Amino acid sequence: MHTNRRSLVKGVAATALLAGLPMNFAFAAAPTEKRFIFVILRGGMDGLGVIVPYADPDYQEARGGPPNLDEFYDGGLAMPDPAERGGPIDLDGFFGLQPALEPLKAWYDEGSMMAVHAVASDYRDRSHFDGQDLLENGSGRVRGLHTGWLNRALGMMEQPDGRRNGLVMGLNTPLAMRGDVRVASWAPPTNPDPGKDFFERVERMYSEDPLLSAPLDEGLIAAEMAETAIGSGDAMSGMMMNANTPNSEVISSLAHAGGRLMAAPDGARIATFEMGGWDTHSQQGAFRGRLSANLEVFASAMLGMREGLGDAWSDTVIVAATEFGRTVHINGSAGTDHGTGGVALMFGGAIEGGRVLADWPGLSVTNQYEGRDLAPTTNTNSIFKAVLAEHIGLPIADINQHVFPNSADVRPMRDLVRV
Amino acid sequence: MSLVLAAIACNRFGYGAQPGELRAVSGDPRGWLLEQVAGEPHIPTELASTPAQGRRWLDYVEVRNRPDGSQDPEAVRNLLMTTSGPRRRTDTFLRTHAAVQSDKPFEERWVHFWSNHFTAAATRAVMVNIAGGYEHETIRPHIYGSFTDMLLAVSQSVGMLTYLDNIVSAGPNSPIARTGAYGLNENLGREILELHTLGVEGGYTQRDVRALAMLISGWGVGTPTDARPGEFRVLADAQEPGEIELLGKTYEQTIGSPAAGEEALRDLARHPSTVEFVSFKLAQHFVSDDPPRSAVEQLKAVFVETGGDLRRLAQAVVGLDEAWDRENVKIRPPNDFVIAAFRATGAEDEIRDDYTSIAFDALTSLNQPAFRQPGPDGWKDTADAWIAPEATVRRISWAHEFAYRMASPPDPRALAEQTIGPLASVSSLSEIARAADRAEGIALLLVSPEFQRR
Repeated sequence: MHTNRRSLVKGVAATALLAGLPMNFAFAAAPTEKRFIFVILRGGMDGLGVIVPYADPDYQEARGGPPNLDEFYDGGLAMPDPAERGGPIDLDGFFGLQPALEPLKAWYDEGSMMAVHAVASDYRDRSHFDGQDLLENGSGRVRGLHTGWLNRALGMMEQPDGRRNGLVMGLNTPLAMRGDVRVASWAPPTNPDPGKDFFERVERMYSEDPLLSAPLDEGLIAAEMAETAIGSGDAMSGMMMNANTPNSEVISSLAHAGGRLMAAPDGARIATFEMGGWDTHSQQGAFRGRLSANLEVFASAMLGMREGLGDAWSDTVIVAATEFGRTVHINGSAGTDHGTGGVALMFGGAIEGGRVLADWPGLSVTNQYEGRDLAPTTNTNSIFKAVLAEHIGLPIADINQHVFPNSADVRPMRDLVRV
Repeated sequence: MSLVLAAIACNRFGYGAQPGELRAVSGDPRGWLLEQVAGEPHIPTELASTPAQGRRWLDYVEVRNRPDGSQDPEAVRNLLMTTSGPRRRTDTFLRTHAAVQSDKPFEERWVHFWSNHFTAAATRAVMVNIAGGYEHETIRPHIYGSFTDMLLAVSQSVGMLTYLDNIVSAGPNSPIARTGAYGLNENLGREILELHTLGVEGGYTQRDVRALAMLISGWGVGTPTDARPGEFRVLADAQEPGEIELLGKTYEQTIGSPAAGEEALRDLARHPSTVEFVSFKLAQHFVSDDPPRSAVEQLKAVFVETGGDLRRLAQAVVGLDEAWDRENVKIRPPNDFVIAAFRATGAEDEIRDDYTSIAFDALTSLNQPAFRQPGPDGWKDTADAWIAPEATVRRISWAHEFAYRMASPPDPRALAEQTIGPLASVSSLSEIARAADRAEGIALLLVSPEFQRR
């Protein structure tokens, strides 16, 4: 039934055997060299704590004054000026970078990192689960559609037989990737490979059961692709992966492997990657705290992803977005509660980076959304639309009709992408 | 025919059949289920003998805080390595073991349903220590009481108050907030409305979120120097004083007492949106991902008639004709699959030395580690959350390794007969019969479409 199959045997002999085979024979040419990775940051990332508007005249007061730098988290959430200890890394004289993202500062300087601030989806309530649903379904309404906008975008791309344009980096398929178009998913194997014969027996048993047979087929294809792109006996084998409990080593390894899968000439072109841990109701910290700890993991994931992408980095756009931002004010427990406007981060060699874009609403109480949140001035979908139209090359009319229906008034942001 | 009903009883309501169980149950499958929920909640001795939540909480707090009141992150890391991590492994083992060995598997499902509805997960250092204790101490004793009592117990538990940050919440006009020490935290107030009672479409606003947070402000846990360390306490200085309006009703806070917050929770527990939300979740759990309205309505009627009596609701679930459909429509999530695999094979006795790590690692690699729900909305209850390409390959790979670790695997044809037999398709049975050896046959049984569903 399939020409591609998970390799049976592991180890040196297998690698040597595979090296002699024309592994790509089953794959058609890629329809595009452009890559897009949607990084879903679950839990509501505090945009003001990540891309810090230190020069806003209301910043210090709005965020509860300076932190106590001698503790893991203590005091207010307002960072001192960049020149001072515990301050952000200056980006443009107004915004600064949380120091935990220091490893990515070089990207900003070379133009392959940028931020879009005061962004939000159409969601204006404060439930994580509804907010994520709307961010991923793309209809502008909670549960407005049961498929994901990325899957619908995949449906508009050429689908050569035998390969998958869509890749889930992780175990379970996020809503953004669910829909009619089959997508591959990949995470490091944790048990020994049962072998080809056993999988064939299972496939026979599943032949009348599409709910189980479809994902099995996809999983085997992805495993085959991974074998080609990453090789057997990879150091990741046996590593436990759990996106819910971010761990630098595990998550950067996954990002690295995902990058390699996308770098392959016949690899996927659209992918999702998820990371949680952003729901900082307590112990958030300005300089150090739960937010900075999570940002360190995030930075290592991005570094791993770039390394995995290799030369394909120059054709890549990564957008990291979250379901909503958090309250401007510090809450009662050194954290922040669910808010509205936040920040989206972009990476990749194909962006016009080195900038922080914002129609900045200001942080005074009167300028806050409902007197508590950063007011959103940019729709997150305008970023996604720009990437799909200008980078991937989908017609904007089709995007407005199928990918983000009923949203023609949300225009793609200009000049995000190198063309 | 009664074997078919027995298989439904064991799979849909329980954690799959142990060898011999189908025949034993076939005389009266419904009666077997109803009997399980007739008595007092069973609290396995091994679970009850682990440290209480409050003790676990104090273990953490005492280590974290230096004598001068500052915090010691190094000591917390050390605690995680030496105490909390191993404790979560033990908690996972005991919880799984209880379900594998239980002769009342429906009761175990009922416990797990409610501990997931009221998720207090091990996602932070302190919670890694607590979460296992929360399930058997707060959830188990209340599974046959009223929904109201369960809600009150949960909302005043060490686990939930810690998990959703209420231990550091003070009303904006409370003495503590006025000193600037700390202020209101909305987290628990919001999730009680959204996830525990009304549901996200249940008709509340941001004002109601804050109102409920204010009503329960000051609800926390006694510190080591308090009169009752590690137990629920109301910190008067953190309570929001005065009148507070929630969902159109005004509550008068009594400082020093949780009365106003408790009254609000009692009202929420009986609210029509709560009745709908909880009844729907029960029907989705026991009938199908997209349950028929008729099933939801029947459960709602019982909820209203009995004031949310959870024993009567358990009986009502068994009484739903829709739950006895022969076709298996629910996919077993990894937790159910792993427990069912151990129940079916009796492998716990075979490979006892490895058992703790096999169960623990399986749940981790299949992405459903015990007590570790990704968010306060708990594990998802629909197939699309669990059936994905890599996840499917992992299930199959795990089942294969599991079967091959058994020292003396039983005859797979006989075992298939005793577990999925009455519901199994010809193709599954013939594939199992044609396996190359016993272990492969067991592996095929475990990954068969019938075993993957409940």
